[in-house]
Amino acid sequence: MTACRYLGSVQAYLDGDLPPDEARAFRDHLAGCLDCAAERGAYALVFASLDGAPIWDPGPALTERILDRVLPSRLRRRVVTVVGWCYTALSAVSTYGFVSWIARPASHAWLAARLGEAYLSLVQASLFVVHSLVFSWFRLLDGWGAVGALAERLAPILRALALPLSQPVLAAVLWTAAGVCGLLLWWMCPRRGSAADEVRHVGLFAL
Amino acid sequence: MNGEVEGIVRRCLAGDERAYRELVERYQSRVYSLALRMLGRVEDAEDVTQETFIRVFRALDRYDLSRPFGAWLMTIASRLCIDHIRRRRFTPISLTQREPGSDEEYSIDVPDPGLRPDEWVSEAEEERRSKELIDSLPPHYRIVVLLRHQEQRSYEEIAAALSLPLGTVKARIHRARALLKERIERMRS
Repeated sequence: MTACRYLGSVQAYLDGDLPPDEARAFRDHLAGCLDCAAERGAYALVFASLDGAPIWDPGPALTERILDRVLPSRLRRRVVTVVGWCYTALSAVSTYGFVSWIARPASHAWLAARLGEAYLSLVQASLFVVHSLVFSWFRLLDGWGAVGALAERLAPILRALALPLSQPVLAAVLWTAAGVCGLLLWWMCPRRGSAADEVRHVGLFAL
Repeated sequence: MNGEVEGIVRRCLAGDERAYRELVERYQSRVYSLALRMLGRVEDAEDVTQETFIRVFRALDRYDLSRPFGAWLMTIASRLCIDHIRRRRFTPISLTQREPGSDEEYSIDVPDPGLRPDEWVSEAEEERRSKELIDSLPPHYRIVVLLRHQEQRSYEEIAAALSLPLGTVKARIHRARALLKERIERMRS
């Protein structure tokens, strides 16, 4: 017994993958072929079971998890809100605690003693600062003499450096170089205009 | 439908956070179902679903609005599922370990990555039968069948999504259905 040669077309037929004329011919063939009809029935079950496979809903928890990942600002906002509420609650509790503590008579004496100590410390610190400033001023007056001595020691070096300028040729070269440097700095200075103009100093180094 | 999704995508691109939620709520069930069928574990399916949306939103400015959004999203989800299966299957581990300062080697226990028995029996009967049927297929058959029947994708779209030749896709789907037919016939007999 040989299998019907159309058996291989059953899936394509159920899939709607056959051209219209071939589908019509296959439909006519099905009416008279028991093998193909049985095969069609078997595959119809497969198609029904695959098409009817349920779609599962993962629930809102996953939605929130995804949104927390793709929208970091959302998470940040939530953190800021939580921190803000915590700060408010902490402020309210500490204010309440402070007011109820200060209302007790025993707290007054303790507070007066602490304030007295703090005042004494403040006066001592201020005296120390004033003393330090006066001492520093006198040391600075002494220091001007040291600056004069340093200038005397540096004078020969300055004279040696100024010597080339007394030579006309050297002086001309040095003054020309200084002028060129000045012009170059002026040319490199960024100014309003096209982007190419603004980056010409970069182009100079690229050369 | 496409115009509606296109509008939501445009709002996402404009930075509207509600549009992000709409897109996730609209497509997460489909992505999650595909991932759960492919990977078999809820935790893995959730991870892949999350990763899919992260990649989609990251690449949203490069998305071609003339293409169907669902097809693009499911392409990314399919590839992530396949990557996940590959990683799970080929994670290199040494079967032996050695104590520091010792030459003696000993074998280690390797955890079974499959479903636990209680995970199998917790499904409702109808869902379980359908799930069993699909799960019985090898992963490379399962993904094409799911895209074809669950996502109603054409052969050409599946071939493009999985970067496979059209003939290979058709052959795999036909072979997968033939396997399922044999299994159903065995169950009925």
